[in-house]
Amino acid sequence: MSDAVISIERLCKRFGPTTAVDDVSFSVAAGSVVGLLGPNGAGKTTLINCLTTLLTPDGGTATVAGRDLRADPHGVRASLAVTGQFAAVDETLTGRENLVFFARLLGLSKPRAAARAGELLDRFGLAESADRPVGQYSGGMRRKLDLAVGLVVPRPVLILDEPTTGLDPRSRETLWEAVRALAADGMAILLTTQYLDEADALADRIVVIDHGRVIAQGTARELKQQTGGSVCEVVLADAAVRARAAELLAASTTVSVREDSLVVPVSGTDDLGGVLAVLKGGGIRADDVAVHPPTLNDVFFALTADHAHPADRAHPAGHSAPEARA
Amino acid sequence: MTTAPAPVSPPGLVHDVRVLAERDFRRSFGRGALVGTVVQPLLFFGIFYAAFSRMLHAKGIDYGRFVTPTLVVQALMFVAIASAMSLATDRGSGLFNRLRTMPIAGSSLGTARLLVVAAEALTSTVVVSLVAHLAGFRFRAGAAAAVGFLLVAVAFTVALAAVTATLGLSLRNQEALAAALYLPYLPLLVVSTGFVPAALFPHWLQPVVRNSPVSAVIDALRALSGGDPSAGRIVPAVLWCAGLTLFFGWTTARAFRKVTQ
Repeated sequence: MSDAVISIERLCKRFGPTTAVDDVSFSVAAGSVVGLLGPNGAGKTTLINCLTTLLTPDGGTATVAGRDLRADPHGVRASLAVTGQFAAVDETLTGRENLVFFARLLGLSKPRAAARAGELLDRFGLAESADRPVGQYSGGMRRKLDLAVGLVVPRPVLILDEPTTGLDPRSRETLWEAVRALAADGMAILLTTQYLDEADALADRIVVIDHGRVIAQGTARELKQQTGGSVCEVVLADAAVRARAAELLAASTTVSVREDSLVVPVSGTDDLGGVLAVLKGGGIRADDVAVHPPTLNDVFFALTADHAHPADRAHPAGHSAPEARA
Repeated sequence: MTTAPAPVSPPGLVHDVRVLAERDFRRSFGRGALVGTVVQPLLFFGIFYAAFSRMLHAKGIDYGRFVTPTLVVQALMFVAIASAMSLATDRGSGLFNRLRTMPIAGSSLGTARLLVVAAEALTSTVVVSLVAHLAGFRFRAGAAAAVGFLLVAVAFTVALAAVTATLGLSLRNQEALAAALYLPYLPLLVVSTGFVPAALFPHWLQPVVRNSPVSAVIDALRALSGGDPSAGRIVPAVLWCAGLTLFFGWTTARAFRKVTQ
């Protein structure tokens, strides 16, 4: 677990006046999954595009399986498999034809490509639909095929760019299983996601980025510890009441505003009493109050709260507008 | 570690082009895709023949000889338009980005597309010429000129495909792209010497008609199929094709590099 297969060093990428990726460094070891977590427009996709040689970084560099991004982009391309948030396969071809096409492009002979395609179709449960055009596939089947395409030839690195966005829970679970198996096989996996439960479920380490900068990294447990003890969630369905409560609480503590609640860190009974006293003093009757250990969601909101207006955080990451910079 | 981290060795340009072109061929020549390259030009040939042949005959113009090169050019325009739509599909689906993250030769995508466009152009040209045979179209200037006819047709398609490829790779809105591709083709075709001699256009439009690349190509095709394949009637078409290919080849390469942003 010590040898870094992906090593990103002080990477920067600017678009005009905007710095989309700002001095980012982290690494991914063989056999491990690193989750790259951040809200829309945080720079996740730009970072991935740099790492996959689609964009040239303005500063810093990265090595993938020992190949330097700047000196040997072709070597980097030969070392990584990419599965994007768009299932990038040819809709007019069948699942099998897609796999054979990509396998041959990566240097397999026709018979070996056909054999490999058969193996992968079986492994991902696509054998029955193998000879139907991909245009007729469901979203889940497409993602599975997309991942299978990434695996036609063994490569040390897998990059998954929001692999389960828009998938139903069952397809998501299947894909997660596949990713775990690949990590167990020794692949170094970099996963971007907006779903905290996904990072929690899959990632050995999590890198949180916002506005192009790494704002925290560590295991899920370490990140949760950073928020301190527990959190108090005050459920307030009425938006106006919620806003007023947030204003009152913000005078004494850190408040993050969610879709129908406020979340405040509480490390003891004094803190909790304080929250309740503020609410009572303001004449606010909460619909419900709960105290629980922080979820990764809470960590994420706490970490990103300083970097943006609360309004941006009013809806959970994952249901908001598409990435500003695709 | 069952998936041994063994980076694949790059198989080289020729291999990459062949695999990429095979995919494109399958799309262009399979599953009903021949409608664009075969059925559509034949349909137009029939429609125009029914509508115009007697009128032209009354004026002493032979439909088969006069209009066939025009309909070849029209068919080639459809090939270039379809090629751009296909590029836009691959860009939109993310397939181009995936290919660009793979260890394939840099120029293989463009080369493969050119080969496929050339093959489609040849198919369309041969199909239209064969059917036009029924309407009296003949290669009267010999085998060498007939080969020249095919070469000019292919060169013009490559040039047009470079123009449309820039659009297909730059315009993100599919409707805007369809409009940008389909709107200009008919004015370009009609405001040329394709159906009506330049002298019969309004005076102010005659310079446009005479200097249109479409007129130049149609004139070269008429020269190469008719009895007078002189350099003066062929060189302008060749220059137009070369110039358009060079300039729009450059803009296409630029657009391709920006596909990601």
